[in-house]
Amino acid sequence: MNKTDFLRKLRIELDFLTKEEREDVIKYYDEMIQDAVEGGQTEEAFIETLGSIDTIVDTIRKDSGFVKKVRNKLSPEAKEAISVTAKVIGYILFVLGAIIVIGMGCSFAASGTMMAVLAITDIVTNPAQAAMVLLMRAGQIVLGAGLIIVAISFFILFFKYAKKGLEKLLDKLQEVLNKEDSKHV
Amino acid sequence: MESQLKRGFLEVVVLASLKYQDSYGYMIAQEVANVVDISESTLYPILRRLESQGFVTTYETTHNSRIRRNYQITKAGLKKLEDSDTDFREMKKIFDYILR
Repeated sequence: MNKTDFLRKLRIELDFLTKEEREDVIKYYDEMIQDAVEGGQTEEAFIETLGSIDTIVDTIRKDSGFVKKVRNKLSPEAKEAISVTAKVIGYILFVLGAIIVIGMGCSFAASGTMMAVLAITDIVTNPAQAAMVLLMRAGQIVLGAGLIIVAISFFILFFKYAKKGLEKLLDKLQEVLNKEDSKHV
Repeated sequence: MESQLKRGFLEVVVLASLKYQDSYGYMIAQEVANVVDISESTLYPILRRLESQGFVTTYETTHNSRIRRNYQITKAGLKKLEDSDTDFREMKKIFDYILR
């Protein structure tokens, strides 16, 4: 069979494709045959090696579903964009959280320290006070120390778990995106 | 070879053939045929699959006053190649075991 016959028959058999898809196939084979002839092969012999038109059409028919599925799916670029966006949002949330935690922690620590320092100064400068007042000062010292401890645990908990949690969340997202990918391959 | 497995292999082999330079249908078929039994007709759906998944892009050039479609591997394609490297290492272990 020569090229003209081959392409004509192929075109007829591919009537289940859209015009654009059909021409894509025809262009592929047309180019392939011309390249083969240029490469020193005989047109008819080369066309023999391409297999029967039925087989070619069958393969393309089986595959057209796949390409359609993929077309409706997220492209790798879109996936990349989603994952980058998620990361950026995640880190922005992390930074905002850090600012709030640091702010709260610092004010807790500062007021705790102030309270304790004032109470200590008062006891040191006026040791001869009523027992009631001294007891109150002692209470203030304990309260101040408590506030400082709360602030420190705030920092520790946030930086220890928030970062881990964020990373886990992003991993999960990546996994979901990848799963989408392998479903059709 | 079982066809599903072979197709997965072929996709990667075709990507690998584009790793260092762009190429066109006939040349890819010739090159890939050196390592695996593949016909020009098998290659077409593979190239389409790779293109639809964004692993290769195409552009046209003129050759001897006719249009030739060239294929170029994308960033995603290179990543896919890298990923399959790990897959194949794992598979090699399995094959070594089966064929021991």
